[in-house]
Amino acid sequence: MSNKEKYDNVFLESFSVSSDMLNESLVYQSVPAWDSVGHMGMIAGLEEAFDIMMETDDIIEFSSYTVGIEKLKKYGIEI
Amino acid sequence: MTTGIVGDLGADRSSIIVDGLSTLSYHQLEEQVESLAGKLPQRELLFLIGSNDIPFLTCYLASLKCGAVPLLLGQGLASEHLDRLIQTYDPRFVFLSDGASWNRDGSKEEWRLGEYACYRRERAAPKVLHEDLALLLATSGSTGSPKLVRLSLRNIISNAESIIQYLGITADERAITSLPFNYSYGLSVINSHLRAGASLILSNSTLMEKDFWQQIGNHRITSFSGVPYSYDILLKLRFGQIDMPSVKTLTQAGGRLDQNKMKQIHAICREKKIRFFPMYGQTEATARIAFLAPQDIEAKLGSIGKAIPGGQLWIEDQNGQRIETPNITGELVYAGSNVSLGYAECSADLALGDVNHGVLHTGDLARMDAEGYFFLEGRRHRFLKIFGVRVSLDAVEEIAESKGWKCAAHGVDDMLVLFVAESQNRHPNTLKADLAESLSVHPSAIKVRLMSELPRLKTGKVDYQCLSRML
Repeated sequence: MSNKEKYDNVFLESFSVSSDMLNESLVYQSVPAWDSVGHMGMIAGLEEAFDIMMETDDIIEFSSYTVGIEKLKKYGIEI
Repeated sequence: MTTGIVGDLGADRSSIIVDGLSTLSYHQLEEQVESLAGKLPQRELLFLIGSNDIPFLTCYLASLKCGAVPLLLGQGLASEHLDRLIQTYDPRFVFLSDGASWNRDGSKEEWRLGEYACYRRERAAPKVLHEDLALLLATSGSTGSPKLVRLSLRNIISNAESIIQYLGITADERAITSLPFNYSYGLSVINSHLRAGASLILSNSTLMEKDFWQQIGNHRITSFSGVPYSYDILLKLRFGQIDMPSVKTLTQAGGRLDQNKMKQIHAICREKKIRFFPMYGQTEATARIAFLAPQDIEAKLGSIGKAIPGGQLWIEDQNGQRIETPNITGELVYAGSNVSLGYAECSADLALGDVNHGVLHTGDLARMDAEGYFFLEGRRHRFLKIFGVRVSLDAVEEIAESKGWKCAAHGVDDMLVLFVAESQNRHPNTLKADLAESLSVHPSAIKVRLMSELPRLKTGKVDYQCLSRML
C-alpha cells in the first residue's frame, strides 16, 4: 500500500467519510465525527500506520487533511 | 431577590471574566447581571441552552439572582430531545443561541443578548415552583431523559464553599472552563471560582485544540479540569512535554480513573509541581462529594479519597445498615448540605420540596479501608459514563427501539456495546450512526455486536450477566 493509500484509509475509517471528501475542505469539526474524540483516533491511526510518535504541537496543529500531509513530512513520510 | 452566588472578593482584585469576544471585570459582570435580572420573571421556569460564554453566564447568574428557575442544557443537545423536554416541562422562557434548531411554535422573541435570543412561550401553563428550587440539571443529558435534579441556592453555595476550601481557591486563581456549563462538574468549576472572586476564562475548546493551549499561555491559566477521557488526551499529547508553567492545579472527576493512569498523571504532575486532585461526585449532590488529596495519591492509588469539608460518607449493606468493618463492599452513602432536593420527572414535581433531607444513596458500590479512604467497586444501576457524561443503558435501548431496533445495551465506561439479534434486515452500522447522532456521542465509542439471538433469563428478560462475559 502506498503512503497516500495508508493516509487516506486512516481518514476514511476515522471519520466515516467517502473518498471524494478527502480534500482541503476536510478540516477539524467539518464533519460530525471529526471532534476531539475522532481527532485522537485519527492521530493514533496515523501513528500506527506509519510507525511514528507525533509531537504535541503537531497533534494539536493537525487541523485538516492537507495540513496533515505537511506535518507528516517532518517524520520523513511523503504522501 | 436573593444575594446570588458571586463572591465580593473579585471586585476588589483585578479578577476578570473572559470569553472569545469580551473581557469583563467583576463590577461589569454584576451590572450586566443586574440589568438582565430586571427583565427576567421571578419564579418562572426557563430553559438555558448554550455553551461557555459571557451571555450564557450572565443569563444563568441573573436567573439565580431574580429567582427564575433555569434548566441548563448543552448546545449540542439533539433537537428531538430538546422538543421532548419542552413538551414535558412546558417552560415560560427558552434562551438559546441563534441557529439552534427547535420547535418554536407559539413562542416569540422577547429580547436578545449577544448571539442568544430569549423566547417567551405564550401558552405555557402557570406552574407551582417550590420556594427552595433554584436550578435544574439533567441526569443523563445526551439521552434527553426528562429526569432532572432539583437544586437549591443553599446546595450550590455550600458545594462551592467546600470546593474552595479543599482546593484552596483564592481570588488570584485563573481557571479555564474545559468542560460544558450544563455539566454539573463544569458548573461547579464556574460556581466555585465566582464565589472565590477568581478569574474565569470561558472557553469551549477541547484539550485537542491549539486554541486551548494558546489560552493557557495567554491568560497564564492556573487550573483546569478533566474527565478520565481528558486525561487520555493529555497522555496522548505527551503531557510530560507540554510547557504550562502557570498551571498549578488539575482536577479529575466524571468517572473512575484507571489506577495506572492515575499513577502516571500523578508522577508527571509531581515533576511539574502541579497539584493533582482525583475527585468523585454526582449531580444529585450538586457536584462534588469526595476528593483525594495529592499527598495521599501514592498510598491510596485508585481511591476517591474522603468526603469534602462539611460532608460525610459511609457504606451501607442491603438492609440499609451502616457497615463499620473496613473493606466490605456496600452502597456508598453521602450526607451534606449539597445533597439535592430530589428529582423531577414531570412539571408537577417542581412543586416538591426537599425529599432527600441531606442524604444521598449514590447507587455506587464502594468499600472503605481501615484509614477511612473510599474505593469505588461498581454500580447498582445500569448506566455508563461516556466521556464523563452519564448514559442510562435502559434509555439507550428505548431510543434504539424508537428507531426500530431491538437490542440490548451494555458496555464499560467510554464504550457502549449494543448486542443486536441477527434477524434484523438492516446493516448494524445504521444503528451505530443513528445512536451516535441521537446521543451526541462519537461513533468510535459505540460498538455493535451481532448475535444469533439475545441471551435471556427464564423470566424472558435479557441476561446481562451473560453479556458482561462477552464484552
